[in-house]
Amino acid sequence: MLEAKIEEINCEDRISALPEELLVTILLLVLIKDAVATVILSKRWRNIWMMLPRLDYNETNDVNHARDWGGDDNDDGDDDLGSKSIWWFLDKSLKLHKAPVLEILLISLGRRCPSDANVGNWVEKAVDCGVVVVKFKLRWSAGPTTLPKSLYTCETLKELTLSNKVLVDFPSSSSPSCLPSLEILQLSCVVYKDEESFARFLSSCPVLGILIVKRKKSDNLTNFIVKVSSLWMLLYHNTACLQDDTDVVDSDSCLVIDTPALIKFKVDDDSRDYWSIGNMPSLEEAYISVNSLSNFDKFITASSSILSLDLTFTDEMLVRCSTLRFSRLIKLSVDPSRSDWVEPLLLLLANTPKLEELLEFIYDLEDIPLSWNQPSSIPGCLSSHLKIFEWRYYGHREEEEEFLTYILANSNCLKTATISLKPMLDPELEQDAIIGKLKDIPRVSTSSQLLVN
Amino acid sequence: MSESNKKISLISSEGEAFEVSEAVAREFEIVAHMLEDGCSGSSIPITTVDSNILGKVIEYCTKHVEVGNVEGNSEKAEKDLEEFDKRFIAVEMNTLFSLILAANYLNVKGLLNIGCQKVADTIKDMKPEEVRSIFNIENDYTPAEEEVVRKENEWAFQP
Repeated sequence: MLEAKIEEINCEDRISALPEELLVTILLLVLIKDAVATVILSKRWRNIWMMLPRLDYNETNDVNHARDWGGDDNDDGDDDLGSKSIWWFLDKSLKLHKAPVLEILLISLGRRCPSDANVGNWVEKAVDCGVVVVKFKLRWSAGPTTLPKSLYTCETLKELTLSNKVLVDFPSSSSPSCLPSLEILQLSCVVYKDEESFARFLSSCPVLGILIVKRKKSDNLTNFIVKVSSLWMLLYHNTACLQDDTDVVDSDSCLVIDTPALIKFKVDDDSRDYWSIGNMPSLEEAYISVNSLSNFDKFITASSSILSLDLTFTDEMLVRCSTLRFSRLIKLSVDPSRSDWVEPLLLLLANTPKLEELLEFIYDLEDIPLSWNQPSSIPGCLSSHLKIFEWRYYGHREEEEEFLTYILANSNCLKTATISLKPMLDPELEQDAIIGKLKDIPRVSTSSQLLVN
Repeated sequence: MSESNKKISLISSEGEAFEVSEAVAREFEIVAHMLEDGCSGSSIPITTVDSNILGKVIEYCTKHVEVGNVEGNSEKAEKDLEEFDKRFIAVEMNTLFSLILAANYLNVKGLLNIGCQKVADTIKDMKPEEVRSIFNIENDYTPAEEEVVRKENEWAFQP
């Protein structure tokens, strides 16, 4: 009797008895092809996948769902050209899909995508279904494509990513467009119609908070102008670099940033574009990697009230920085490669009275000679604020050891100091000796910890 | 009595009482809402969940509350919890679906997530025939109907 009952339970179809919302939850966790294939299981399953509020079509061969929406400068991918494009699957399945709301549409098409595919068609359908997130990456062999105008008037859209072979062509002012809900915009290696069209785009997004831009060479824009009063985060990446090493900015092309509400700013600019940076009184966190001193100067002047700063320096930039006062700075991370950084860094410390965290990242393969002179007075941040000190690629030269000794001897509130050694020629032998020496350096903060990697 | 020491009895469908701390009971969002709505009773009937499954759900929530309370070394704690989840959800199908339904009803989001993920992992990369046999799904299409569905969705079954 009992056995019969167990038998019965084991034969029960528990999965089909789940409520539809749970079946949808489960199918959201499998690849779209596996989800669609469930139609054949039984009548119960015939319409389940069509209720999915998120559709994710990915032509790259990733096993997991995680993928990079950042564009590649190089449009030639490493796709397997032998297999079929997911385009046909996308085209057929979107015809059948009938959820009243399609919230998220993710499409990533590669080199296999036929060049006559009407990719915009499905973006339009998503807009009609009240889409909230659209991420669209196109790396086909044909030229950049425009997307349907209705995308730029979508009232529900909160997040938009466009990558690679997309021509960003915001409709002209004769047909007023607006993206009233758009909060996050990512434009990666796309091509722009012209400066005016891009300016119209940004000015038509009244609540835009995050802008992520990766530019590629010849994207049709000479001047890149970001004028958005609601923007709080800007990540700007421009790798279109010139080969020469002179510090000459090209005044024919420029980067204009006018974002008074900015809180987070990351910029990686290898170009020689001329910068024009408006004031950023609320800026809290910045990562700056730029190779022109005059541009660096403009940024640093606009952001002296900053709380956290991550800088890639040249020698002159460090010297320039050390003459400014960062009265609120709590966290500083510096990468003063290829320079005699010791003295300017000490000067900088004297101008950062609230500093609690200092990270040095010094990858100096050339062993530039350093100069060490004991400063006349101890920087205020050492005696009363510095809690965390980290040094990557410590080389144990005499001046480096003197600098380290000075930090450890004067940082009253230090909690942890982490030193990562530069890879040595004779690792075993030298490293042990160095670690022993480092541990012997006296620390004024007796409760502090020294970690050596 | 301080909040952390307060005990609450959860009563299973068979009428068995499980005494748990309020923090654990609050992991059941449905219970948390009842408490916030001013339900002050110290025993709460969970009529749709049997003792076996209720015990397991409580075990899951207790572990997650415990780990949440430990300070420091969050990376290790997270890894331990991941291991615990993995072991916890490695159960036979019947229990798995009972846990999913209970988690859905009681609104224990973490448990619902790992339960659904477990089912999804089973479906992944399987042929429809294999999925049917693993989950005892009866194919109620007539051969003619199945042919129509297959034809209509031909593109979905191509490699």
